[in-house]
Amino acid sequence: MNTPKISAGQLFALIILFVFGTAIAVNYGLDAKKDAWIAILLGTFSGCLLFMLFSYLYRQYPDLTLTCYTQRIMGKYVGWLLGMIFVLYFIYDAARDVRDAGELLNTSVYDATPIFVLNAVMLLAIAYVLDKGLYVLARLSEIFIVIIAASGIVGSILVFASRIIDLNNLLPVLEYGWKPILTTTYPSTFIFPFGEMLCFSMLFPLLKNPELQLKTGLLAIVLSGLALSYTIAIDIAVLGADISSRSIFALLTMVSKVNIADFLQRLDPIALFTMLIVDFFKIAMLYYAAVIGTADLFQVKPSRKLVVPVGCVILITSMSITGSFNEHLLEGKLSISNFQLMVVVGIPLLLAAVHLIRKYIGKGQSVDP
Amino acid sequence: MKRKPILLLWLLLIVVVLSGCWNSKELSHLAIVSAIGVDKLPDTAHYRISFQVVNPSEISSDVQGGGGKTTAITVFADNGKTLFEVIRKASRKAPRELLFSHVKVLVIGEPLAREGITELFDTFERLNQTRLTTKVLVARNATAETVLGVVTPMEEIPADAMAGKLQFSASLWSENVEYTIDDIIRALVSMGKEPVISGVVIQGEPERGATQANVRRTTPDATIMMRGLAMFKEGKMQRWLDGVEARGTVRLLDKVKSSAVELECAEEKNVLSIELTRSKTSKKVSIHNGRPKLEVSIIQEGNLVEMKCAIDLTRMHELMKLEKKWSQQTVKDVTAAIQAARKQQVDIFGFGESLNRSNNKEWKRVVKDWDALFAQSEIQVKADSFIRNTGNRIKSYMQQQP
Amino acid sequence: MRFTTEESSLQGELPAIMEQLKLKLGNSPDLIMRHIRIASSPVVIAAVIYFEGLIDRQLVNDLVLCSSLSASSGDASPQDASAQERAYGLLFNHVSARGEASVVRTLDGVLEAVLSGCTVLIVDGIGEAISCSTKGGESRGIEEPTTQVVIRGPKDSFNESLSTNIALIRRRIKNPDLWLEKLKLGDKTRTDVAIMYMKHTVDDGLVEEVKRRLQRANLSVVLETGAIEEMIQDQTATFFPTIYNTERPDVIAANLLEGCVAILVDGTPFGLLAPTVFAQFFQSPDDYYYRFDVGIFLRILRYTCYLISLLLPSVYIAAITFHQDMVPTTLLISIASAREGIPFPAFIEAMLMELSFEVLREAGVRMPRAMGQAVSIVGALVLGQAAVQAGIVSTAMVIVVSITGIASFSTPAYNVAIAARLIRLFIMVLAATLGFYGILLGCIVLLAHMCSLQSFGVPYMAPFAPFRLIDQKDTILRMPRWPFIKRDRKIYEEQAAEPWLQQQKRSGSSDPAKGE
Repeated sequence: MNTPKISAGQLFALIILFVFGTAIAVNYGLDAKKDAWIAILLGTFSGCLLFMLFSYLYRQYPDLTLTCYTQRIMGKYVGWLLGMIFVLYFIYDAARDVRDAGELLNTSVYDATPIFVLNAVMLLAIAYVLDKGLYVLARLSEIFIVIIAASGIVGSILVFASRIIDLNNLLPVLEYGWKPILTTTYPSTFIFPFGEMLCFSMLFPLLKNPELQLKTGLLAIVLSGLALSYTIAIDIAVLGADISSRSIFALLTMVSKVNIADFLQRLDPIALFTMLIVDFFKIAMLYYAAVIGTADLFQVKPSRKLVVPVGCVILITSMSITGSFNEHLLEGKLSISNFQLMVVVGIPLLLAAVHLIRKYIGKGQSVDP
Repeated sequence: MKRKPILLLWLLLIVVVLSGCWNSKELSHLAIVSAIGVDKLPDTAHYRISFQVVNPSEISSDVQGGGGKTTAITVFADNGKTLFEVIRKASRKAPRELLFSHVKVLVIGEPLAREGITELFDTFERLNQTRLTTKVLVARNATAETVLGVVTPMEEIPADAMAGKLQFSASLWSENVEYTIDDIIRALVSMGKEPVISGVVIQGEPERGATQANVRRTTPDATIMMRGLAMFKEGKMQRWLDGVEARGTVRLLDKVKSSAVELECAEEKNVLSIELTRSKTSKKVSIHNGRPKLEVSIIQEGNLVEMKCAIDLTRMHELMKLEKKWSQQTVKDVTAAIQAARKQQVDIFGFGESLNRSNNKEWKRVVKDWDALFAQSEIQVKADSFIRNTGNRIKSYMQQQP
Repeated sequence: MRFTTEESSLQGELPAIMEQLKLKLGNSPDLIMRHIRIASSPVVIAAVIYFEGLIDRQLVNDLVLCSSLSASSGDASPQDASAQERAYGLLFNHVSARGEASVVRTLDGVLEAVLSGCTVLIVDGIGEAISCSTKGGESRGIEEPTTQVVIRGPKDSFNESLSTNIALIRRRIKNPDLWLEKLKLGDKTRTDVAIMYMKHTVDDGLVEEVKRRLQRANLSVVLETGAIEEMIQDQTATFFPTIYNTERPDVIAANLLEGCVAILVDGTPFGLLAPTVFAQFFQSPDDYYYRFDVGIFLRILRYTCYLISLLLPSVYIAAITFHQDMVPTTLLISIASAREGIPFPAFIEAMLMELSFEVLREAGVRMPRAMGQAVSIVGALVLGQAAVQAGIVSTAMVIVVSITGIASFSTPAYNVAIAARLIRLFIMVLAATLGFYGILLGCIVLLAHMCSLQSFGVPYMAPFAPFRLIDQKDTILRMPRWPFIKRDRKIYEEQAAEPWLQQQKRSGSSDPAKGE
């Protein structure tokens, strides 16, 4: 390893930006109406548990990426197959997020611009960053986390200052009981975005201080979960549960209501670009995981050779994934409760189980197959 | 290998440059729409939609920019079944592409309002240019088109004038509410609340208001004025609330910022004025024996600013008497508003919503026939008033010195 | 002309050697050869050789005088030596007593010594020559800095003489740790180059690396630090300077104390500092001389101005052609009315104005000072007023371009400001094609590029990315001095440590497989 490693602070920034990713724009939590913020808190909590599972697996093989230790645990062929599933999942997920960004731009400002161009430009910029190396992305995240935090704080102040918050919109809490909250949390707000953090298993071996991994990760998840929940609560308090759950990008609609002294108003493009920045990092992480995974599976070295090919695959996938945005959202919900759930929860659980069984059976003899 | 990042950068630039500028619109090809008016053509399913478009060169602050050749705005109108159809149709009349992101006011003609406005706002939510913060008004006794066409003094753009009048009448006089599209949508969707929309009238001769001559006079021939509140039930306008009823409604919506209140002096016919400075309304709903009980309590503060009679304000009980009188009058206003709404069986005040907030289970039971229940509800209004000061003087000069 | 590698010795007759020397220098008339007698019985002739103009006449005359007197003084050499050898020995003693002297044994050595301002004494029949340092000649005095002006702070700046420059630094740091190494660079120019550092503060690897890169640079011409900078920087394909240059000795001194290496070159008043981070270009020496709160305010102002100079025209283009909804209504209407009748699209208009502003600026710099003002008056009239009145450009655009121009002057370092000017044009293209989305992606790519840069192994964007809290006190902020007390640490030692190895590997073998 002769590239600079990822420090704990960089991991923290990456996780926060990743979790914000599309979650802050496309909010599946709003299926729980007024109580979306509770659903997100629940999701955060379960996300922490899931992250602990990923960390457990990582600590068994501190020098290996997800796709590598899958092959160690499950044997060469099954492991390779599972690794391939992971890679496909990363590509699929990255493509979804690219599409999200494209649709976000398309519906808000760039209605005449083909989504293909919007997506292609985004992926080119990401490819440029990844081509420079993950450490560049990590450093970039340190700069942008400040920008995002600042815009979050300033945005909150503006929203409060324009006195559009009506907390009555959040009442009564639990109007429809726990059921809608639970069905939204499992799997929607749980997998999206916390389950997707599986891709971080691909960069854990690059950490500078592996012992801080769990602590940093959990702290970042909890913080970003709180922030997400806060954001969605503000959305609802401003717009009411009805408008926010019907709007595709609730945050955008919410910010467009900000008006201070008739001068500071129409800030939604700024919110839009904040969303794009966080989405950028999410796509970049998934993209990176896909590149490294492919390199592992097909023994390509150096892996940066794959940046452009994988990018093309993501671009094409993002275009062919759905025909319309409605279909895209629907497919998202479907895939979260089936395919994604299986990949990010099912397979890691299986891996952990097999690993434990091997450890007990293999006591006395060497653990490595 | 080493040069690849640079290559990528160039690729990015080339893609971008070749991609052209699909969404780029030059300002000189855009017409800024400042207000939209929607009317119903009688006896058809067609809307008549009018756009108030700004002529930038008229509003230029530039000295040599000229101006005075045309009016500051132009109104284009066309008919069609949907709003979007008309937006596109208007390109036949307007020389530039209409830009909707700066629409300040949406004016709805009264006939249309009476027929129903429920389906009107959908496109405002969907299109990316239109904004939910557009203020909504109902044109009273006039079509929206004529309202949009009236040229106004001081504010060159009539939409700004309307928005300003609405804003200041809502905050200084409190007979209006400043509701935007999303407020209306929320009220339309809610089971426990119905919308009210402020009314706008043309005072004077509407035909003469549409010429530049209107603002060349010190007393314009036609003036746009805010008046009354339109009360809606299930998206259809029921009646106008004016005066006391309108004030009571604004009270109940807890939107009162400041106002002027007139009270009668003790025995004489004279009156005194109080500047309302703070008002807080809280509503409580409970169900007793299947009948809702609406409890309203108001706390208000104000200053005595004008007095046409000689009350000795140095005596505490005189002031307390005034406070009491004020409370009584407020209770009367509010009760009048509730009575008016009950008569139409429309809960425009959101009593249903407060029941939902405080007693969710009960609300679910009564939600279906809430309107009927509301009509036969029991009312209890309470007001606490405080006159905090009496301006720069305590005694009036009309008061005889002993 | 390359110096021949084969050694041509100084053995032989004096006139023959002289002839050879003249031949090599193409009979240059400024090469002065004087013959003096340094012993009378038997007569021993010595030649004094120097270049007129490179030497201090006083010193040379002194030298000649004492040389000719040396014969009459006492005996130093063994009796069995020949008269020539005896004379030579006496001469050497005398000369070295007067100033630095060294022995040169080859013709090339003589040439090099003469060319670098020494005076060479050749005694007939001895295979050696004595070279004495008599450097001098005309040089500029120490004047006020012209490119890095401060309101409060030392007013001296480097001049073209290396020894003066070194002295200016030495005067500020009276510390035995301040070490100096000299090299000669440039096959053709043989320029003196000095490397200075604080021995126990600087990273030893850094000094080695600087020296290695200087030697590897394989330059033939070194007339300015620019040539060296270009050859030893980490990355060539970038708009950003990764090595700092300054003409202020106090800046160099301050950075030496923080663990930088300074490179000074004879013949230019600009010194180089390595490693450099981006934040350094926004530090002006007077930040440290003002109160800290003023310093912080000025720093923030400079960063803001840099952003403005980078982005303002693009933001304007994007806002009025893509995001009209963002602009407040009243402002939009006044911009619209100003743009009524302008024949160009906003982007073309902006490019036109930007380019004419650049032309104006360049003309202003190159013009003789007296004419510079005429240029600015004409420019202001043509661009500011006539163009607007003729309806070719809008007033809004004039305002935008002038604010951009003014903002770009507030960056203390010219080379970073110039980077912003170049990048601005690219971002304007992006803004015109994709609006804010283009600007956003452009900025991300730009930042990624900056994050990937390094200067002698130190990440260019440090201490922002990678973030180091302890170093934040002297970046955007300039914290009060008391936390600076423990300041004798090496700069950014932790980051330097790791990419450091990478650096050496990279230059050693192939490039590293990034992203692994």
